[in-house]
Amino acid sequence: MLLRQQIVTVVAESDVTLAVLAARDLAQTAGLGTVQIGAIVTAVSELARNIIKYAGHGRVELRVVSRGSQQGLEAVAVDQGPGIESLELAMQDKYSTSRTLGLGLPGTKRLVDDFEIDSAPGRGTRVLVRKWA
Amino acid sequence: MFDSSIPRVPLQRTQGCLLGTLPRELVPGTLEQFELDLLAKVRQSALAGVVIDLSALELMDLTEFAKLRRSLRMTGMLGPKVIVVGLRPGVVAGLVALGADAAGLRTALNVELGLEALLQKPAGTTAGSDESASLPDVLRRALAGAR
Repeated sequence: MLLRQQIVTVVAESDVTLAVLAARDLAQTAGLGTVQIGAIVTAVSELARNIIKYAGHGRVELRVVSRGSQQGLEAVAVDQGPGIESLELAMQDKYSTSRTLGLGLPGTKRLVDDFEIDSAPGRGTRVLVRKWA
Repeated sequence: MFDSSIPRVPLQRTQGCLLGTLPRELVPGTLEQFELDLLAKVRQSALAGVVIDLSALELMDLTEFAKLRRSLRMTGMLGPKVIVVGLRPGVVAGLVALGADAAGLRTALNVELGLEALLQKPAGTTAGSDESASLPDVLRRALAGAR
């Protein structure tokens, strides 16, 4: 039976690569097309990098999900970092606390079909994304 | 300073240009090592141009894109013209969604067209060698090519 779920602990840059490879395998299992795989895998890469950049460590949970006959890939990036003070501000284009890249979260949102974020100062950050086949 | 665990990007000379072929996936250190190798090679050889082939690459996030652009800007400052070829639709779709800044990045569909664009006389460039090709244009072209 094909693997349908994987959890990647993210502490170093090489873990971003691991998360990306795992996401690609599971996205293929879920039956996503090439362009869709590119999109969700890029989103996973961005989320994993954010964990390292802002929280230092965390994890990315990847699973194949279904609704009716449709399958998709779900990725949840979780960290216990400083959290985001203003989600409204973080979701605005051109806003980035590090000022190096900007666009991180709004860009990630554009790559996926479903996007949920939960964060507060001192409570860490949890971002859920889904891409349907 | 040589770390054998980091895959090296092959750099070969063809038609007076240097062709660099990036691998299917980037691991930490690949782009840093590539930058060192590329700058060293460009400095020791008289090159008309540099073609960077990304046709195998399946994913590039903003961080990697920024690193690559930095390397290519440095290469361009040494003299040769630089062109990126073979970007995949999935990669381009991701970069466009993330808002990657591709201003001034020269692109072509494949190695052949890239070499052609570099070896042309500077004036009156044609389609496929458009200096101002934007990433959405690249996406359109790549999608058209994928059909």
